[in-house]
Parts: sequence; structure tokens; C-alpha cells
Amino acid sequence: MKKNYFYYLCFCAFALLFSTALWAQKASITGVITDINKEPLPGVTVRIENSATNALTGATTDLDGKYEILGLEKGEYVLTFSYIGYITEIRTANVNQGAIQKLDISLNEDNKLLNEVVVVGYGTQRKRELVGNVAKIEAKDIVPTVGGTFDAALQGKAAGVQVVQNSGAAGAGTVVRIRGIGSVSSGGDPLYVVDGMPITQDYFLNGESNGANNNPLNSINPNDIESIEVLKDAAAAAIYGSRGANGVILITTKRGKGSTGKPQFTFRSAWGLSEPTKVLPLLNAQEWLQILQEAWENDGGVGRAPLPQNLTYEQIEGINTNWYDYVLQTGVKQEYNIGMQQGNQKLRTYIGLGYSDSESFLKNNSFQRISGRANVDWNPVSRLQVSVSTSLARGLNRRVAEAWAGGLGMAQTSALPIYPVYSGDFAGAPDTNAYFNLYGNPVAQSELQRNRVVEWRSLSNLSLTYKFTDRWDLTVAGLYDYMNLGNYTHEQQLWTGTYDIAKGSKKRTYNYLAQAYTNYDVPLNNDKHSLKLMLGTEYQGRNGDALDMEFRDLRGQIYESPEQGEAFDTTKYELNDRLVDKWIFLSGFGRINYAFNNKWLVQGVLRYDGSSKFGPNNRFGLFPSIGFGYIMSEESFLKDSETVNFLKFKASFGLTGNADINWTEQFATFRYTQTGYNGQPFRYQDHIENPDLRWENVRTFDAGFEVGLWDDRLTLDASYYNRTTLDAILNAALQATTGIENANLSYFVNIGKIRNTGVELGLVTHNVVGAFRWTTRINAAHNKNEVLSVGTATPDALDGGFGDTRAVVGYPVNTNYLVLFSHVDPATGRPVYLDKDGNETFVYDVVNNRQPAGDANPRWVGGITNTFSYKGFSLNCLFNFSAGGKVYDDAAKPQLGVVTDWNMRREVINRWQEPGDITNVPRLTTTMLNWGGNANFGKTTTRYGSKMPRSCASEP
Amino acid sequence: MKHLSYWLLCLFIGALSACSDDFLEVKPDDAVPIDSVLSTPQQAQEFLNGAYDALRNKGFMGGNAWILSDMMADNIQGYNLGGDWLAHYTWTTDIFLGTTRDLLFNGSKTISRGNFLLKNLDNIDGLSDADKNRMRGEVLFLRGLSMFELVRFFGQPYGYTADNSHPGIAIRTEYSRDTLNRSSVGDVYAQAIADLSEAANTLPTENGVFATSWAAKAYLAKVYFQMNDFAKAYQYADEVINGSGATLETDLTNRFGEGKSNETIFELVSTDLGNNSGGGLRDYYWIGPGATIAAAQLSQDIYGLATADPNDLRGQLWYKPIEGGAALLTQCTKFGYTTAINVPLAHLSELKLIRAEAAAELQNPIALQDLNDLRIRAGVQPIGNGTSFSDLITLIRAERRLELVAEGNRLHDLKRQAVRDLPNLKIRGIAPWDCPGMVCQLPDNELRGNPNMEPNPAGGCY
Repeated sequence: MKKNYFYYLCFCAFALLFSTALWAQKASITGVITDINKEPLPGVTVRIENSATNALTGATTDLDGKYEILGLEKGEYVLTFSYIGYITEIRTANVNQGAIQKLDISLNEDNKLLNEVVVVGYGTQRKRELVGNVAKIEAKDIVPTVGGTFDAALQGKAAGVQVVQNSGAAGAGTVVRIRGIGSVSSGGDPLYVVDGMPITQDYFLNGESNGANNNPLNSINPNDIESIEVLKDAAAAAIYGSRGANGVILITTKRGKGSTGKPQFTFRSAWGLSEPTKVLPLLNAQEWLQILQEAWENDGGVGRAPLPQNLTYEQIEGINTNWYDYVLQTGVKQEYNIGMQQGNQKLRTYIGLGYSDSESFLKNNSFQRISGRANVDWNPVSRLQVSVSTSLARGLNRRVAEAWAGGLGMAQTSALPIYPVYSGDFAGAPDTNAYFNLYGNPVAQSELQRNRVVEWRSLSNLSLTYKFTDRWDLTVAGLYDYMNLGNYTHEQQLWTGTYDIAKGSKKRTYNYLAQAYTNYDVPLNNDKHSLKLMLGTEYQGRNGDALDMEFRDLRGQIYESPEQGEAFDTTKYELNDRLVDKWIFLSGFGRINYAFNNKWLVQGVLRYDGSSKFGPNNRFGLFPSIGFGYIMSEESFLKDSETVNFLKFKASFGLTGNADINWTEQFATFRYTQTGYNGQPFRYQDHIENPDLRWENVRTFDAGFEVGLWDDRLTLDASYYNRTTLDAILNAALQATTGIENANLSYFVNIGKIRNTGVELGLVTHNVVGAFRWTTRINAAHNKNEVLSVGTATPDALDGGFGDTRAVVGYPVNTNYLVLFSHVDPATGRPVYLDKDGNETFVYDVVNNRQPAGDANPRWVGGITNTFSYKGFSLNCLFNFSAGGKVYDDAAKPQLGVVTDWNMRREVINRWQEPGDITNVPRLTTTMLNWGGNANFGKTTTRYGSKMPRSCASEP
Repeated sequence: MKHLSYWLLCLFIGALSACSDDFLEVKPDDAVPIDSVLSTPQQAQEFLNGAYDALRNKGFMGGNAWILSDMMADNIQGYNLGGDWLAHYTWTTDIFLGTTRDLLFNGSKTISRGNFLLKNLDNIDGLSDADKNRMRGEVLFLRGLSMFELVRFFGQPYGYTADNSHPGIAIRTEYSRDTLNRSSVGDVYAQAIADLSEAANTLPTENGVFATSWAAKAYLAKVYFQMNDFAKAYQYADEVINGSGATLETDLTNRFGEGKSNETIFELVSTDLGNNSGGGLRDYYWIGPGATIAAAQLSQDIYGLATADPNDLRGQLWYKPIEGGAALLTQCTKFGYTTAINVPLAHLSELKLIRAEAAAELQNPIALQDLNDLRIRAGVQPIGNGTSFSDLITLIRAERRLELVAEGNRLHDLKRQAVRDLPNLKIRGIAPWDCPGMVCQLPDNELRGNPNMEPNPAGGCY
């Protein structure tokens, strides 16, 4: 929906190093360390490996790449030069008494991605030893969208991770799906874990106000993120048990680093513009009037067609309002970030402060974020590390109505080009500022209705890690995620028709977690074997409450300063304090990694989850996985290959769960109403009990290989998966005649079966290396989704999500379920439909003739990132794609078919006008009755959608 | 935090499974054991009130059940109708209409809330036998009434097939989420009669604003009349007219308004405009501020008949032509709109019309007297003695339409008459009374819960 221009300015890195000590009589080693382009490398660690007699064992290079090791005795020294991202070099130096030995070297960049360390949940693993499928995205690879959230930045970055932005509005939610959709009636979002904490992430926590939901990830500043790991298969995600089935996104924030203790500061600012790339072409006043007249005459009308709103043709003379001008704008986005990183052996600190303000292309719509983060690691003694992380963020989202709720949606529909903004604009009308057509007037709506969402978010944790030995450690941690989401609206009296009403709704969520886990690297006598164990337990609870306030006739005072509201006279407002969310997870988990000869790998994972969300008959679930790996490049026949430097095969199988179900679903509940029939109180049961409800089990098989060619100039990884949801939660419909009042007349039952199979490809090529570098990263994923069983449910019982999509056996979850439109009859101009057997008919029969009509899921999703760098400047170009996936255009119903008091799409210009016309837009009419019963022409339209946004960003 | 320390304890003991299920027992405030909400007589009464509250919902007897019957027949003007209403007006309902969803669901809620109470009625402490019987009678009354009202919309009329084996609605006499198929119309009527008969035997003759044995008998008269069972219809109507103590209002304007009318046998009560059982009627027929016309207008056909005799008070009181509109529009002014109104579901005027027509069918001369009682009250000339019974039937049917306009009878009356003696009847001169679209489509909220549910066929009326 939007286009972003990025201009990145970056002022980086101040580090001052002083070393003033003088060492008489002693020898020293000094030198300059550069990269292969002869650019100095600051911060390289230089260590003397054989300094049994010396207390001083190393140094770090300064800003000019210089290092100096003083106070050495005569002798031979082995020095190692190491720097993250570069291949470690080892040199030997002979020094004489009192001499200064010069040793300059250049370090080569390490392209071997396979040596990366990845976060896997309760620990880290080297990428070469992984048997699970984990995609890692590093901070530097996140092409920042100004003022955006990190989930939007994930788009196109990892194979099989599909990111869809719901709308281009500022602060609006995105939908992230990993390896397709495995659920119908429960949530499909991955689990987000920030520094070990599964965070509060419900998109609808704030309800769906004004046609848009809220993005709970808004308050995480992407600039604070060090890396994002996506756990995709069961081998990787089973460690998160009943919550791992939709994949897990692990977010690791930046921490302090360095060895000198000197702080390094970074400052980053960015700005961009936001404008709509495409608007729906609509009719202007003259065209609309012509269409109306033709429809009127087609229906047998004589004379000029009556105008809506009892308008006369004289009044509207000269009016041709382009309502887009009143709702769209070019939005400005800006962002500023300051970061500080410092560290030595004892204390390491990261501090990040950020401010961003983004306007969208919708007038009056913006999102502003102020955030701060401090991460401190402290080693009071070498065996103990105390880590404290805390963040505080405030998001301010000024919102406007969208879609069906108005705003742009209204400008495209009920705001006709023949309507003026103000009644005074009519020809010959007395001057007045009264809005014309109040409830169909986007200007009136935006001026009389205000909405802002203020979100306070704090994520904190305290963790203690004690190393009993080099091979055994224990971590105990407490984590806390607090969210306070206030939604404030103000509607003026003219809009409400009753009072000037200000409303506030504060939702507070307290999410807390305590965990303890231990890692043990079992010492074995034989070097060929390696065995690592991890065992842990965790407790997580979440409470949420809400406070709703409504104030009348306070002229919106409450809107800007809601805190005052509670002090007002109680006769002016209504308060409603309620519990909205409360649940507990209790878990035990473990992981075993065994390697033989550094070549054969086996991993077993087990998690045992109990949750208050599950019905009493199914309180606890067990989630195992097993994975195997074989590093063929370790075999003698490949070890010396000049082509293949790495080759690994892996396969895994396991069970994960999806526990994203409503916490109240299992209970029988009753409703009490104070004043009902005859003014008396009444009661009824508003939900029946459902004690069998539990998580969804997802069985995943994953197989793949990773290969590195020509010293990792080209790396490719490919995987196949089969992910079957065995007992998908379906919304079993209750018959209306049961009279049972469960919401939507349904209850959840674990009976569905859904399969996702797919392939994922990831390719990295270093096309040009040297001073100028060009790297290409390509990923692509294909997913096939099929509903295998829905029990006895009928398609209409299984809403596939939005619109008219359904879950139908043999088809993907998001299948449009519609009466098919065939063509417009050239003789009569009437729409011709297809019945279930494919026969043409004028009859539009929703009971018998609806059928699966097009898959809303994309066939391929992926991204291509090209990175060009030269002497410290880099340019990142991301091109992401999503091919296939049909979009059901619900709004076409009233905009292509019957002429009503809505504006129509320009396609209507090509309508049927006389016998013989071949077109897809039928004969115009003003009443549905002329279409054969209650036919809704547009209800059958499907369109082919393909989205290819691009963005580029550069930074030094 | 209490949970947290418990978890730490468990951690030290070292066995998660030792932490029993009740540790994971976290409940919402409204998830309470049944005996904490339904164990006292007051609470039982509150559950019963819930059934009445569903009965008077705008989707059911407080609105849709009335308006849709007149709309699908010939008492409502098509102009200005849109959406769901237009579908009813044109006999082209589909399965996605809010009107039929609300009608079926609120009727079913009335039944299920009653069934829920019935299931638990033996567990109420201190409930006297008299109260228990009364509550049981009220539940059965509401169930019989609701089944009767619903089956008239969702099934072809009684008598459509000789053995009434054509599909009606699912009969639910127990509170359960189980799927059920449709029962035959014959079985639904039999169940409704059984429930109403038992209610008539169980209910007291006085019961405040709630159902009495008279109410049950009045409904039995309505049910039998709909079945063209004139002997039974006569018997129950006669019993209620003579015994209930209700008297015919001499002033027509007293039939509808705030408070109880003298002719009421059972009604949906209102306490004020904010708690108005007639709110649905107000929504349909009232011209609210800022509007120029009401959502639904009365047809020119009925307006012509009501004003054919200029002395007819009904034509004068209940119709208001709207000046200067695009079409000839007539507002229905039968109901009060500035105040709350009670909605009578059984009243003396209707019972007299039932008795009159049943009597004429049975060749009983009381038919003429009942007819003339209403004619005289309306200010029109009484019918003379010596009119044949078959002419009387025609006259009574015409009177019935005038008297009960906008009270939700018309469609059902036309179908009943067609079954009785007008097999070629066409509604509004267009649509055969037994065409598929003359029955509302079962809405999706009924179909989707049961894959074996037999849907009603669509359209086919013209």
C-alpha cells in the first residue's frame, strides 16, 4: 500500500583510547590491523596465548587499528587476532630485550555463515550443529522502515515467513504466518519471545476499533534488536511445546560489548515519505449522473432520475468533489536513535534511546514512539553473571476510521462526487458551514470524531547465571512484561446526536514469568563423542484487566488528559472495571544434543506443558521432537574438495502445539441483567461448559540440506516440510434452535485436520568480493495448504477468517466460498451464474450453488536482497514478492452492480448497453430485483492478486 | 503471586505432576457452579424472567414475528423497503438474513431458557409446589407459544400436506447442544398443543403480568384455529371469552398504549420507553426525528379497505397518509410511539374473531353477534340477521383483516384460508400461497450446525 523513500544518515563510532604507560627495559609488540582493503579495524582483540610469565595478556586496537602490548620479556610469543565477522589469525613473534617488534596484519572477512551462533531457546547453538530449521536475521540485515515495527521488517527476509500488512495506516497490525496456516478457529500467529519472554501479543487486545486492529509489537524499537531467529520446524520449536506450532520468533536485544570499558556511541536518523501507491478509480460527478440516469431509464423510469438525499439538479450544478483530496496526504516519517555500547570483563552496558514519528498517507493518522532500553551484564565474580534488561516505551497512535468504519472507506463509497462538503457549497445556497450528509461525509467524520491509542510497555528481566564449571551452568531468571493500552475517543454532540461523549478504555496486562534451566556439557573420555544436556522448568502467568469510562458533556476534556477523568463527578460518567484475561502455563523441558565425530548429529527435545487454558479433561500435554544431522563434508572424500566446503543433510520429526485459545472457553458462564422484562432482573446461561477443549497438535516432518560452495561464496539451503494439524480447533456451530447463547452460536472442538506441505529455498551468493562487495540473498517458499477433515461441520460453520472464506475439505483453509459468475448475457445484459455442476443459470442460489472459488493463500512468497558495499558505505535493496492468492473483492458488490447512492468504480464505464455487447459489467439497474431474485452480482467476483513492493535503504 | 510461590515449591519438590490440576484452575468471574446462581426461588424466577425477555425481543414477538407476517402478505407497502425486508416482501429470503436469524434464535432462546429452568427446577431450595407448578406451566406455555409462532414462518402451513408430514422445525424439549433434524409440521403442532394444554392445566388463573391458564387457553384457540379445527378453536375461545374476565374496550384507542388494556389476556409488558416491549413496532412504523417517512408503510390495498366506509374509526385512527411524497404512503398509527406500549399476544378482539369464524363454520349463530360487536365498536353498520354462514365467513375474514392489521396475523390467515377453501389463492395477486418463497428460508445459523438439516427451497413465487 505504501512507498517508502529512505535516506539514511549515520554518524558512527567515537572511541578514544589512551595508553600512556611507559615500560622501561621491557620489550613490546605493536602494529596496525586492517581489513583486506587496508581500512583500519578498531576493536580487534589481540591475545598472547603462551604468556605463562606475564600478567598482561593482550590488547585491543584503537580507532586507527593500532595496538600495543608492552612489558614483555624476551622470548617467542604466539599471538591471536580475533574480531567478530573476521577469520582469526595466529602469528608468532620473537622479541629481544628492550626491542619494539612491529607486527602489522590484515584480517580476512569470514563469509562462513555456518559458523554463526544462533539463539535456539534456553541456549545457543552453532549453525553447523543445528538439526532444526532456524532462520536468523541479523540487525544489519533488517532494512528499516522508518518508524516501523520489526515484524514489518521481517518481510522477505526468511524463507517461509509471510508478512502481510493489513493496511498502510500508522500503527496498524501486520499478520505474520510461518509455513502456512494450520488453524481455522484459533490463532495463527507465531509465538514472539523477547529475550526469553513470551510477550503479550494479541492483535485484538484492543478490539477492532474503527476498522483496524492494534499492533502490540509497535512498542519494540527495531533499532534495539541484535538478531531475530525464526524457529520453523518441530526440532527447533518443540522446546516451546504447546505454543510452538505456528513457529517461534525469538528477538534478542543488543547488549554491551567491548573489552576496554570505553563507550561507543551511535546516532542514527532517518526520514521518509508515505503516500498511497494506488487509489481505487471512481466516477466523477458527471459520469456518476450519467450512470444513474441510464439505470433509471433501464428500469423504465421517465424523465430525469431522482437524486439521492432529495437533491435537485439545480443545487448540484458545478459540484464535483474529489473526496480523496480530503482523506489522503503525503505523510512524513522521521526517526532518531541514540545508542551506547560499552564493556569490559566485569561490566557491559547497552543503552538505546529512540524517537520516531510517522504519518501515514491517511490524514490525521500517525504513530509516534518514544523508547528507551538499558541492558546491563555484570560479573561480580568470574563464575557469576547478573544480567538486567529493561525497556520502557510509549506509543501514541492517532487513528482514523478505515474500511467499513469510514474515512478512506467512506470517500470511496457513500461520499458521492455530487455531494459538497458543506451545505453552503450548493449552488444558490445560503452560506453555512453545516456539513452536508453528516454520516456519509468523511470531513465531518474526521472533524467530529477523534481516536487515539496510548500504549505504555515495559519489558524487564533479571537473570543470574552461575558457572559451576566450564561445562555446567545454571540460569535462574524472572521476567515481566507490562502493557497498558489506553484507547480514547471523543465524539462531538453533532456526531452522536445525543451528548458530547468522550470514552476511555484502559487495558492493563501483567505478564510474568519465572524460569530456571541448566546446561551441562557432559565430559566424555573419548573425543569422538560429544553430549550436551539442557533441563529446565518455567512458570508463566498473565492477568489482564480493563477499565472502561464514559463521560458525557465534558466537551472532550477527558480525551487529551484521561487521568483527570476519574476525578469527575460520578454522575457524568460510567465506570466498568473487569477482568479480561487470566491464565497460567506450567512447564518442564529438556534437550539432548549428541554428536559423533563432529559428523553425525542427534537432538532430542521434550516439553511438558500444563495450562489453565485447557479444559480439565486435558490439562497437560507432552511435546517431543527428534532430529538427525549428517555433515557429509567431514567425510574424507569431501574434506579436501575445492568446490564443496560444507554439506549437511538433516531431518526431524516432532509434535508441537497451538494453545492460542480463549481462556474462558471451557467454562459454563451465566449472565445476570439488572433490568429486563417487566423491569425485573433476569439470568441465563451465556456459555456452555467445554471441558474437553485442548491445544492443537501439529505433527511436523522436516528434511533438508545445506551446502557451501567455493569457500562459501555460494551457500544454499533447501528444505521440505509436512506440517499436519491433527486436531485443529474448529468452531462447531450450534443450531439456532438449541437456543444456547455461546457467542456466534458455536463452541470450540478439536476435530479438524489440516495439512501444510512446502519447500523453502535460501541462496546467498557473494557475487563480488574485495573493496567493492555485492552480496545477493534470495529466499523463496512454496506452501500447499489443504483441509483434510472438518468432522461433521458444514462450510458455513467454518468461517475462514475475513470475508466469505470458508474451510472446505479438499481445499485450502482460506477458500472463497461463492456462487460463481460466468459472464454477462450479451442478449439481455443480465449476469449469468454457474450452478454447482457448472451449468449456466440466471438464478443466484446461495444455498445450493456456492462452491469453493479460489485460494486466498499465495503460491510463492519470498524476497531478494542485494547488498552493495564500498569502503564502509552500503546500499541494501529489498524486493519481496508474493505470487498467487486470490483476493475476494467484497466491496465490488455495490460498486459494479446495482446503482445505489454509492459511488461506483470506473470499470462501470464498460457496462452492457445494448444487445450484442460483450462485457463483464452487467446492464445498469437501480434495484436488485432486476437481477434475478436477490442476486448480488459482485459477490461472485474474484480477482488475481500479486504484490511486489520494493524498498531500498542505504547507510554508511 | 500466590501461584508463583506454589510453583517454586513444586520446583523444589521436583515434580511438576505433583502440582495437581487445581493449581491450573483459573476461572473467569462469571464461571460459577450452577448452585450458586440457581438455588433459590428468587433465582429461579430470574431464570424464568430470562425466558420472557427473549420472548419480547425485537427479533421475535416484540417485532419480527409481527412485521414479517404483514410484510410477506398484503398489508405493507413495498416502497422504501430494502435489505432483508425487501427479501421478505418479494418472497426471496435467503439463508443470510438477520431478520430470520433473529426470529429463529430468539424464539429458540425463549424455549431453551425455559428448558434450562425446567431441568433444574427440582434442585431449588424452598420452592413451594405451587410456585414449582406455576413455573413449569409458564415454561410450557412459552415453549408451546414459541414453537407455534416459529413453525408458521419456517414451514408450510398446517394442512399443506394431508398428513402434515412436511418439514417444520426441530422440537427441543430438553436443554442440549445436540444436533436435531426438523420434525414434521404435524408433530410440531402436536407438541405445541401438548405443552399449551399442560400449561392450561398447571397455570393459575391470576399470575400478575405473567402467563395464566387463560393465556394458555387463548393460545390453544389460536393454534386450533390455525389448524382449521373449528370445534376446538371455538371451545377454547368461548371458554376464555366467558371466563377470563377480559372485556372489550369500547374506545379503540385503548387497545394499544401504556399499561394494560381491558381486553388483554396475555401481553408483553413495558415499564418505560427504555424498557419498551413495543420498541420493535416503534422502529418499523414510527417516523423518528429527522426522518420524513417511516421504515414501513401500510399498503394502499388495506388503506382503501379501511377507509371504504368513512365512518370506520379504524380507517380514521390507524392510518395517516403522508403528504407530498414520491408515492402514496400511509403511516401506521395504530401503536403509540411517544410512550411505551404493551404488546398483546392474546386479546379479546382476536378471540372474538376466532370464535366468530369458528362459529360460522360450525353454523352457530353467535358468529353474527361477535362480528357485530367489533363492527359497532368501529363505528360501522352491523350485519343484518339472515346472512348466510358462508357469507358470514367472508365478512368475518374481512373484518379480521381490518381489526388485526399490523398485528402479525395476515400471512398466516391467508395460508389458513387457502388451506380451508381457497386453493388458488394468490397473495397480492402475484404469488401462490404455497410457493416455496412464502416460507422463510431456514437461516444459516440453523443450517450450519447440522449438515443433515433440510433447507427450505428458495423463491419460486413468480
